[in-house]
Amino acid sequence: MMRIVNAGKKYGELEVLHGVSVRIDDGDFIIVRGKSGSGKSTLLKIIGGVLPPDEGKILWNGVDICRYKESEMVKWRRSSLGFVFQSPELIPYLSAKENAALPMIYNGCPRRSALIRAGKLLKMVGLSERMNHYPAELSGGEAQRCAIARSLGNMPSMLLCDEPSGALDPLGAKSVMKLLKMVNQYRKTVIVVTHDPAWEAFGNRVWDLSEGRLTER
Amino acid sequence: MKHHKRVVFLTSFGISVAIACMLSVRFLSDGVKSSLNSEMEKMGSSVSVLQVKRPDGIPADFADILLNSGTVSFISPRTVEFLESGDETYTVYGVNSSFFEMCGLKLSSGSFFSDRADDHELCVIGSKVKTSRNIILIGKTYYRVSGVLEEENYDLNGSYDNAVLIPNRYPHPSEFLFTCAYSEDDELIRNILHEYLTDSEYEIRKNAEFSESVNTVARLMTKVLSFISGISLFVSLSGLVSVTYITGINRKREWGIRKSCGAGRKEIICQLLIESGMISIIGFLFGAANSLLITAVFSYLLEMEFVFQAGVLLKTGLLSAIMGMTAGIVPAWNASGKSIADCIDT
Repeated sequence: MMRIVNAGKKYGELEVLHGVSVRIDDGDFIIVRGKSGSGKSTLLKIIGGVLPPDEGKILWNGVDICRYKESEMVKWRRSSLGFVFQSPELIPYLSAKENAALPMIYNGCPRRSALIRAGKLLKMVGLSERMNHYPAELSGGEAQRCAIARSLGNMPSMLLCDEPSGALDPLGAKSVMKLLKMVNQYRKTVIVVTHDPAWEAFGNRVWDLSEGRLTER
Repeated sequence: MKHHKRVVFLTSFGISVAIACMLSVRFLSDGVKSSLNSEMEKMGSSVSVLQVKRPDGIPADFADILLNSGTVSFISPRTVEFLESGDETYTVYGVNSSFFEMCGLKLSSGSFFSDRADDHELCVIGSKVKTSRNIILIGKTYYRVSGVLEEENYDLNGSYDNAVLIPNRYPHPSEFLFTCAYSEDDELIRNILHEYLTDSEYEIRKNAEFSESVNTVARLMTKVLSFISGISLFVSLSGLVSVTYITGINRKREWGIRKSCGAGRKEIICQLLIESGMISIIGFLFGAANSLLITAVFSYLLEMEFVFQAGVLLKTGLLSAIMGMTAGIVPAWNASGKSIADCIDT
């Protein structure tokens, strides 16, 4: 469980987030909406420990992650978080299976076991035929599903998705939505930052960000 | 590395050239030293040369005086003249029978002449000397060939393939070859010489000293050439630093992806260090293979020994791996310091 307490962030004089306080429970499927520049991605980065807030606290099971040392942050990120970006961000010279195995390898899993497990995850996201293909040989939707499989490698309790269907056609976007909903059913928290109103049907909570302030519908 | 094959190839190529130069210089100079030493061994490193600087030389029977003193085991005068025969020029050495044993000369046919008076018109010729019916005219004397030397008999003066060896016919030779009975007899020989010659009228040169000075020069040359090749290795490694640095910057997105997958600073640094070390090792492997090829070809062409030292190869491999990894430290440190937000524009 995560609690954000009075978090604020400024880029120079520009206040992007102001006094954001919110609680995230295990198994939540949260849709974060807002105009461009409203601070959605900044909020996601703060939740993922990528950016430190200028003020406030980010409590993970009662511990402020902003106080983590770099090594503790890496450890926490490995075990608890999965990232999905707008573009799939796969490493071009690794196959789909090798890409999906990366988080497990970094978490200390032997390479062989990691590859076997990555194969199972790719099968789960419908890429059983594409395991040994390189990113350039995958379609946009397939690459994004591969990125989702990768983010699930270490069974993280929270999945942070920044515009996961932003670069996909409607069909591809739908398959990603269904996939994330399926992940959420395993009591994984999923936070999706998006412009697409179609996502609202999948979330159990919707946050609106406007001028740095968060309101929940 | 898979993604940057051309960069890896070009950088490894630079390193391989430097490594090939370094190792070839080392192996070739070792080959030269080894060949020289074995030739010295064949010629007898105990042979010394007494050079008399007096215009009239000293009496030929001086050889008997030294021999009878017990300080030398073999001694022979050596006079040198040249013989024009058709298009060829032969070197004619005036020696006695001890000369053959001292210089380790071997015959392919016939026999050596002795010091007996009835052998004074016999000669031994090199393998390339042409004669007419085994008779050769030198000055006004006809010499009959008693033996022909094997090919590639040579000493410090060069090959004997074009030499004619005749019994010494000069009463006052200015050069003697001798071997000491005991190594500490030098002083005794000088004492005997002082009865006939002043210090400035003679010089004694030892093959062993010559061998040592050749080795010293070879060692010095090896060091100088290795240093120059070392500079080229340093230059190619500077190239590796810039390649690793630029690769580190160009692959910023990859570091962001890896960090989002749980990679820490240590993992990114390790990856870049391994990559730069690998580039260096690939360069070393190609360089080592090329150096062996170059050494083998030159050894064959220059007819010298092919010396290969696995220890030198291992040390160079280790050195290039360490230097390669060292070259990657700063770029790896910089690349690993970037945050996910810096690397991936979400």
